[in-house]
Amino acid sequence: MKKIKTGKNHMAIISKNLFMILLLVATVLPFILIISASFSSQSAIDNYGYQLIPKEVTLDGYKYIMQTSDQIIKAYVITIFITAAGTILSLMMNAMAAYPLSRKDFLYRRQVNMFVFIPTIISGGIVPTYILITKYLHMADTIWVLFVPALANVSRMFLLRTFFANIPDSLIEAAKIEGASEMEIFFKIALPLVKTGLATVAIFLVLQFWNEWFTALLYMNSNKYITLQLLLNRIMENLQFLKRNPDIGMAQMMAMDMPETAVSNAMVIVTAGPTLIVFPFFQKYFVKGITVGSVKG
Amino acid sequence: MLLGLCVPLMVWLVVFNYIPMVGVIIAFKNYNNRLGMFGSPWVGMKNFEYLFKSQDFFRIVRNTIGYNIIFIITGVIFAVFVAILLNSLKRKISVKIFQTGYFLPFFISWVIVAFIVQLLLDVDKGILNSMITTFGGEPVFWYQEKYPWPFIFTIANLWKNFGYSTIMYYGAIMNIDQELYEAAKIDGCTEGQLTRYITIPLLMPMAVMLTILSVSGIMRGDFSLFYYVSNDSGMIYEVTDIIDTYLFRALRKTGDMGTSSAVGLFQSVAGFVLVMISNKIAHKVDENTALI
Repeated sequence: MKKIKTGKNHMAIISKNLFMILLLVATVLPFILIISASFSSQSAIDNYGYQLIPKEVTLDGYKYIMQTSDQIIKAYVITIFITAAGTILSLMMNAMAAYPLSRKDFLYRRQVNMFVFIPTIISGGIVPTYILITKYLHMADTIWVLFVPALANVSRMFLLRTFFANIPDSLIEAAKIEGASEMEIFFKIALPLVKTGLATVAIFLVLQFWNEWFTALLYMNSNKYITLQLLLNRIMENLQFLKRNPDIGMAQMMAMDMPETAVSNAMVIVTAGPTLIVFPFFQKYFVKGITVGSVKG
Repeated sequence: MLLGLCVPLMVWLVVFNYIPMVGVIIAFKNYNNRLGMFGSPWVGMKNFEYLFKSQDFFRIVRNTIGYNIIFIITGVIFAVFVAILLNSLKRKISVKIFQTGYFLPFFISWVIVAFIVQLLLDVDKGILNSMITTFGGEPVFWYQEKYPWPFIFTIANLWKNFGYSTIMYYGAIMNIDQELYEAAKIDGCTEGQLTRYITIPLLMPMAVMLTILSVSGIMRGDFSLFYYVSNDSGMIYEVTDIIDTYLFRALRKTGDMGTSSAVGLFQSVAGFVLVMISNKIAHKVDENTALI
């Protein structure tokens, strides 16, 4: 395709923009449809399907959830707890290890590096871990299993190490001359300087814990400590089950009462809503963190 | 003192990573829950024999590796493509808007992606089937047909993850010296030529590096993707079952410790070998890169 030397290629520009807009629609549209369906009445959904703006706006879906499920409140509490505890503890644990490893004058640098690196390439596998946690540590069916094993994350720690390594040695030297202890240097100088790194890792951690479901699926035998995502999945499975077996007495009653689609969409908003709302505010840090990490290699 | 700071992490690694390593012996035993790890009888390679002979094994390894390769290739191409497009936007605010939108799917869990997929593929209410019947066709039982799933998984994987990779490549493009572009423009280069001769060659090292490093993870699949999006529909296991989903079912549903631990060990060992190889290759390509 020969183009006019000084003119702009309009076809290319148009198709380029079109593609990007379509892609944006593909990423945003599902969410709009879900939000709209969650605020719609069941009859509107049955008659018109998924719409951009609900034909009949109601809070039925949400009301139903609030009334029939204190499971949801519980799941919320649990998920918030493990997210908060997990993020803070993991961040501390990883930062505390990342800092010494970034210091060139750390005596045991090589040994510790090797020690933490090995588990990233060799692992016992899921079976021994499962046995360890259920049989020997008795952590199955407790709330601890949802975040304690996940606290140590070497790749995140290495990312933090990169951030710490950017702190000029002279700064630390100066502090030492002033008589500061290692602890003081860590808390008062190093940590504040890697705020972007901490924020990035924190976002990843929050995401990880908030969306946690696999550990719950694997280790929870009862419904006592279920996370939000797992609850969502179970409810959807039950809805499916009810739908396919309307001849089961109670199911029939429930199925008739329940604004099924509105409820499932509301469930999605309830579980995903917080992350989707919070994320745009942190996008700046997140993007910075990723690009720094990728450029440094 | 500095060492003290490292202690919590190291203790954790010992408990949750090093100790389970001992458990690899389970793969060589006929595990009995009552007798435990050390009391169960030794059966040597029996578990592995059984595993390698089964059709299942071939299928899950093929699926795991196959999907990973497809995901890596499509992932890189698509992310680079979108990053270049983003770079061509004139206004900063446009970039922000697109970036935010593209990033949205990254923040939801696969459970929700499965929900969205179901909106499309449900037999009665799905959007796809509604469109098909409107045009006079027969509704398709998506969750029971094998052939569309590789495409469904690939698209789902792209949709959810491209935001993240795109940002990485976009960041790399930002780092390219603007003077190169200026000089080329003065010489009369068009946008297309700028992309072909400057942007892409300069992105290649990063793309190649990331690809090589991704290869090291080729034995592992994203469990949630395959388990949830397919609704764990047994009829399509032929194309949806990967090592991780197989392991999960063996562990939770059939309680078959012997086979699952053999599979697990295989996955770890193969994974380890791949990491070593990919690391060597990465090191040869760019000396500054090394995991070690």
